[in-house]
Amino acid sequence: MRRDVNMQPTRLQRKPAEDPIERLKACLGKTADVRSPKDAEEPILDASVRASLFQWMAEIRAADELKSVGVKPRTNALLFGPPGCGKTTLAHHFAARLGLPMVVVGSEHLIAGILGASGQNVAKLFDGLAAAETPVVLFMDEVEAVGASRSGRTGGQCDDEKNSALTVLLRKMEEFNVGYFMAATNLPDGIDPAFWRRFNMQIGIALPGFQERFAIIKRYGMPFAFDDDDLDLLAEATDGASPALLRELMEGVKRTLVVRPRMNMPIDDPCTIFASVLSATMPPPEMEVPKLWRNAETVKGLSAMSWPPQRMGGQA
Amino acid sequence: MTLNNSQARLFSFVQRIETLLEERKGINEGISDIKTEAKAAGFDNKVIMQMIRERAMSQAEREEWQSLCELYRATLGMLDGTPMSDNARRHMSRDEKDDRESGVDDMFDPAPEPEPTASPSEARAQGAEAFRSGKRVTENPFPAGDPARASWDEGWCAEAGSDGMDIPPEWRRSQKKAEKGDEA
Repeated sequence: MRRDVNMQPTRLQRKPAEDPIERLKACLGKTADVRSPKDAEEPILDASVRASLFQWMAEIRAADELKSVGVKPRTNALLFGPPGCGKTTLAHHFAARLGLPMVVVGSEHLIAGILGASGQNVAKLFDGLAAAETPVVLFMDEVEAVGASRSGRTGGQCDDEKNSALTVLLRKMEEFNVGYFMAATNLPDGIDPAFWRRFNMQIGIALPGFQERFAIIKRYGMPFAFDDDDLDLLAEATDGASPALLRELMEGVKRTLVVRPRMNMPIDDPCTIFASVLSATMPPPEMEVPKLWRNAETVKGLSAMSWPPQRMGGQA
Repeated sequence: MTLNNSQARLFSFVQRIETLLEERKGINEGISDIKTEAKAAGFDNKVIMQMIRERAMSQAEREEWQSLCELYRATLGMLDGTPMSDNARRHMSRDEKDDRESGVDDMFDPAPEPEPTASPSEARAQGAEAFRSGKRVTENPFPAGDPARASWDEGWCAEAGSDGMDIPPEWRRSQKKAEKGDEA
C-alpha cells in the first residue's frame, strides 16, 4: 500500500535558479556564453588602460556620492586595439573585480541568415539579460560585425538587414540597465559614428611594452624557468608582438621541448627550436611583423641563451 | 533527356531526400537489431531508451527533468516512501500564486544562504589581510553590490600600493636588474 505523503505540493512551476550564472544560462540559452568571475585571469596592461579601468571601478563604488553632484557612474566602454591584446581578459578582470558574471557575445550569436533574424537575436539577448534579473558585464566581441559604419553600405538587402540589427542594438543599448556594457573591436575606423558615440569611454588597448612582454613571455614559458637575461633578449626581439602571439610562441617552444626528444631530435640549440616554432607562427597580416619573425640575424642572436631551460621543480 | 534549371534542382532535392530516407531506414533497422540483442541479453529496452534520452541532456537539464518527475510523483502520492531530492525541493518556491500559509517555512523552502557582510573598516582590514596572505584581488568574498566588496577591494589595493592590476610577482624578473624600458 502506498504511504500518504504529508506535504502540500501546490505549484509545479519552475523556480529560477538561485545561482546567477545558472539563471543567466537558462535565460540566454544559445545567445551568449556566460563566464564566472572566478575564472578571470590576471591582465597584463599598460598604465593608461589600468588608470582608466581603475577610475571606472572607483566611480561605480562611489555611485551615491556621484549622485549627490548630479552625475552617474559610466556604464559602457568601447575597447579597441590590435587582435590578441587582451581586451577580453581586461573585461573579465573588470567583471571579476565587481563580482559579476561576464556574458560574452560574439558575432556568431547575433548574425543570422534569415531576414530580420539578426535584429531578433540582438533583442533576444537583451530581453534574456533583463529576464535573468542579475547584474552582469555584457561583453560584445568583434562588435564591428553589427556595429560597422552604415555610410559605406550599398543599399542591398544584406545591408538593410545589418542596418536593422544595428538600429535594434542602439536602442537596446540605451535601455540596458542591468550592469555594464563593454564592446571590443579590432577595426575602430569602421565603427558606425552613432554607435561609437553611445559609449561613455573609448579605451585603446595598445601592444604590450617591454616589461609587459617580459611578463607575458615568462608567464607562458612556465613551467620552464628561463633566465632573466634570456627573457630580456626575447622581450627585445619581440617588440611589436601581441600577447596572443607571444603566448603562441612560448607554447610552441614548450611543445617542441617536450616532443623533440620523443622524436629522437636534439633540443640543445635554441636557434633551431625557435626557428621551428617561428616557421609555423605568424602575426596577423594587418600587424607589423616583429624583429624576431622578420630578421634571421635576431634568431641567431638567441644562441646566447642558457639552454635548454630547466623545468621548475628540478625536472630537466 | 535535357532538364532545365528548375527541373534539375527539383530532381536534386528529391533524390537527396530519398537517399537520406533510405539511410534512415537502414539506421532504424540497425537500432532494432541492437534492441533485439539487448532484450536477448536480458536488458529492458524501455529503460535503455530512457537512459539514452537522459544521456542526451546536459547535467542541468537532467537534474531539472529528474526533480520535476519527483515533484509530480510526490503530488500524485507516488513517491512510495522515498525521500525527495534536494534538487526537487529547490524547484518549489513561494510567490503570489502560492496558496500555502505565508511566513511558515516548510520542506520546500530552502534555508537562506548566509550572506557575508562586514562594516567598511572590517572589510578593508580583511582585504589588507588577504593581500598579505597572497590572495588575488579577484578573490573578494563579498557578493556583488555589497558595499563591503568595495571596501575589501580598497583595503587590498591600499595594502598592495597598487590598483590590483600589477603584474604578479611570479611573472616579474626574479633577479635584481637595472630597470629597462621600451627605449632600451
